Amino acid sequence: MEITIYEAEKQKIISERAHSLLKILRGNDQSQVQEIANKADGIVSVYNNQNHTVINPTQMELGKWNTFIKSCIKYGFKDQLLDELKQKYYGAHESYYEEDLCKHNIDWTEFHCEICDKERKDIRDNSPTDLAEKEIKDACNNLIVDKEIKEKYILLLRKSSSYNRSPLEMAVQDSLKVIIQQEFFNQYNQLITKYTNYEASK
Amino acid sequence: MKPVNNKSMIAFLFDQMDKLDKDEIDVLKAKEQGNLAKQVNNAMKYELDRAKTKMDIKQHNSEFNNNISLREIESSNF
Repeated sequence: MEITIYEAEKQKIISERAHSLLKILRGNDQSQVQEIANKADGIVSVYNNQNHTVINPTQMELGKWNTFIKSCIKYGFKDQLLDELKQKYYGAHESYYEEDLCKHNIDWTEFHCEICDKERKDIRDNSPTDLAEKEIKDACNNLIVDKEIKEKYILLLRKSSSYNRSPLEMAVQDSLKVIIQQEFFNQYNQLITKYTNYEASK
Repeated sequence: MKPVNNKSMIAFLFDQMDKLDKDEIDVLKAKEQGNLAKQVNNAMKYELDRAKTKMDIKQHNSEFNNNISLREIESSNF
């Protein structure tokens, strides 16, 4: 029997309501509602199998999806951007630590120069890396990704363990990774440009 | 040759997984298809890298008033 998306969504809502009712019901009512929940779950499961999708993700699966998005962005953009940013910023500000004498002619290997310590603290506090990290994190949270892609990832989670994936499953994961990176690049290329072309002033 | 995008490839791969579960294809075939799909993914990653490089070149050209361009190897006639 072919189940439509409308029917599947309807059954999903019935299942959700039934499961929340089950927490408060007892006795005969409980078994009746349990039966309704099982029937609805069965229909949703058949729909999922027929269409290679998951329309009823759990909170844990949604959490794993969010983590997956962040890891794709981390290895695709974030790490490289932040590394370059750190190099530019600290490279422009802390070059004088390489000398034995600090700017105020105090041998920093033996004594503390309070002015330099304060400056160093200011440099750390005003580092743009924290802001960049926050902005990228916000961008990950607000990234708009096709619902279908999310459902496919959750289906992959249900089909396989993350430790022992077959080549087909690995290929699906790689494809999802590329899609997310492409979406991030399309939606936030201004953010990437902003930090790629960051110019640190002394 | 059939045009492919990421989504169609994912659908194809899930279809293959289904066939593998039902023993309609053997493990070796599924493995080979997985490896081929990896190559397609590499081509798609290359597209992304190309876009990033183009963006960097554009910025560089506007900053230093240069006219560097990325060669269009793919579209040239042989």
